[in-house]
Amino acid sequence: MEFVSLDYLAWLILFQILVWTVGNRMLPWCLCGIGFSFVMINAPLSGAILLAQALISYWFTESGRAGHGRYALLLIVGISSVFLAFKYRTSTSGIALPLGISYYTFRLIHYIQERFRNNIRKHTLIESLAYLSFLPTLLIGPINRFPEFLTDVRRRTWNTARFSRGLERVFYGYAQLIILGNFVVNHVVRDWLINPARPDGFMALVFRSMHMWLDLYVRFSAYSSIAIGVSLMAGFHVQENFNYPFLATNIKSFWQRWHMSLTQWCRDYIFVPVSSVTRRPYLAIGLTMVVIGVWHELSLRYILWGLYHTAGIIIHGKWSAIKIRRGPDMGGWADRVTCMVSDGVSIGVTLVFVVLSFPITHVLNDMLKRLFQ
Amino acid sequence: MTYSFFLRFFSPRAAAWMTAVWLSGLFMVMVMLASFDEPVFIYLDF
Repeated sequence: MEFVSLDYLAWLILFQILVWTVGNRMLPWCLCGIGFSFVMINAPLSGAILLAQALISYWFTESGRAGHGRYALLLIVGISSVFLAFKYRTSTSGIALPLGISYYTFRLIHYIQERFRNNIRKHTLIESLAYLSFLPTLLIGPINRFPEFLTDVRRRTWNTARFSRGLERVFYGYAQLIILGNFVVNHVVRDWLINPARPDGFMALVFRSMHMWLDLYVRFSAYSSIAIGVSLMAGFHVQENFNYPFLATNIKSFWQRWHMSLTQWCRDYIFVPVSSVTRRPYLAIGLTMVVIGVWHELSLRYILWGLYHTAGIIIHGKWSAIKIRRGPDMGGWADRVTCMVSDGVSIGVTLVFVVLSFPITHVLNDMLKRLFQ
Repeated sequence: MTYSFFLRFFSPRAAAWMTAVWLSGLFMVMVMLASFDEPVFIYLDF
């Protein structure tokens, strides 16, 4: 579904009307109803798959079995396998993924993990379904967390300033999407960067990569703004997803600023468990980045892409560990200028590294394919 | 957000006008450009 469409806008308006018409007691029913109605109307089979996953997870966790690590792990493996199977089918045959399953799977795994860790207050099935099918974040995230959602759903009160802030956020989100995303980046910049007159080969890949990163950032952060704004209007707090990633001074900082809800999810549920069990942080970083890559597309090149970023993070870690002996302070403005130049160079190096990630892994992937054919 | 921003530089009355003009101008530009098709979300064509 297109976000700049009257259909989607109508759903968002209906969502606001319904959530403020019903009282707090009926709110979870309302959220659950509108979320699943949206999926069922647009893709009935997807709705059935998501509902089945949610019911099985709730039953499993409620029966106390999630308290046993082995069962919780089994459930997570099962849910991940369903997602990977669909992802594989999409990669090979081009058939679309079930609507919303990407973010839904992350939310479901978060829910199971937190119940396993006993971090979630007692709640009902409808509350958990309302969380999983929360319309503003259902399709494109951010990956909101259940404890915050539960607090909001139970203690929601009308707040005019918050509603107005949310409305403004939605407005700016749409402005960013339409003016910057659809027009500037995808017409003006695209025509300039992906120009048929430009030479083919590696440089063409670099220009395509530049356009893609820019497009991803502008449109994805616009979608996140719309989701955060709509949630805020309805009285729900959803975490930010982007924090000026292209101003990051190193690759580690880039990943702390880019798609933050996903990277924080990966930190909590992949990096921390793997590094605490294996005591090998580099292995944990590698696995985390490969999962992020595979989540985008189940293919060798995205595994390579994950490993490329892993290498970057490890090299940055090693580099930071080297203590560079600083000269004496030059005082006031000279220090500030040095600092600005150093930050500028760091931002430039990080950008080049990020932009080159796709062309380099593309070339590597082609080489490996030729090697094993 | 916008009103608070303008309030830093103008009186409350002027800030309210500036906000109204800015937002309505932005809305008009959005309406004019809304006909440009939205590409399929996240087409990682690498």
